[in-house]
Amino acid sequence: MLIFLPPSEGKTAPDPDGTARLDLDSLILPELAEQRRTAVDASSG
Amino acid sequence: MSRQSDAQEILKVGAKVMGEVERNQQLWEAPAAPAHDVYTGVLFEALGAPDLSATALGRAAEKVLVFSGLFGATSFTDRIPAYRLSMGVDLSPAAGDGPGRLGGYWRGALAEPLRERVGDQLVLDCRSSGYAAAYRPHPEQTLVVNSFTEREGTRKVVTHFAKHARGELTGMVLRAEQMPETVDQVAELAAERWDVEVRPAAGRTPHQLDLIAAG
Repeated sequence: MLIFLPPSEGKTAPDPDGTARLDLDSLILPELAEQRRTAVDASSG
Repeated sequence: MSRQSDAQEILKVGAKVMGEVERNQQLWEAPAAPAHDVYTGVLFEALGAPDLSATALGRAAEKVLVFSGLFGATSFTDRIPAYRLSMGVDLSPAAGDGPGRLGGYWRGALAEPLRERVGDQLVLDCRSSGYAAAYRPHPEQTLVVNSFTEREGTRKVVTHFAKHARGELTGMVLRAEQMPETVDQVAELAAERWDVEVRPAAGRTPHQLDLIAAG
């Protein structure tokens, strides 16, 4: 069985001490890396 | 987009959270933490990720997908930055290419990868409608979780409690000695906490698991 959850995109907390950075190739379903890059670039620009 | 003067309007957020929107400008540079730590809303609080055993967390990493306006879907443990962007946003730029409406963008991108990943497994669907539209498994293999409070015979949906119940049920599933794999097994587990009703799938409507609490 799989479980599908919504995010809480209205409530996210940054990791104040974290050193890791976003690595799209490390996410599940890495075949989506290009679409994710487009979304991140569009959102951050 | 987050640097644009109309970012607040595009993101459909109030002025109070524009500080959070500014985080979107540093998505590549910001610290990235496991999704279950970054998301801090009611559902995730009720799920209680910090208290999951190593076994349960491993199960979550394998079995949980968190849908997202920014990433389409991530695992429970994927490392992501904090951000503010919902599936209902339209990221169409004034000129040039862009994702456009994120719901449609991810619906197209997720269809094939998720069809393969889901296979013939049952999906316990705790998403709200905006995220559910990004990918819908076959109704016969989908169990949608609903939550109601009941008072004097009248049922109503209270959003806060519905999110809490979905998070709590997810936590119960992840902590179960043996992970449920069928509609009946999920209902049996849920019945330890709520009054439960199951409505079988019919046509294009998935199975429905109604969790009923006294109001």
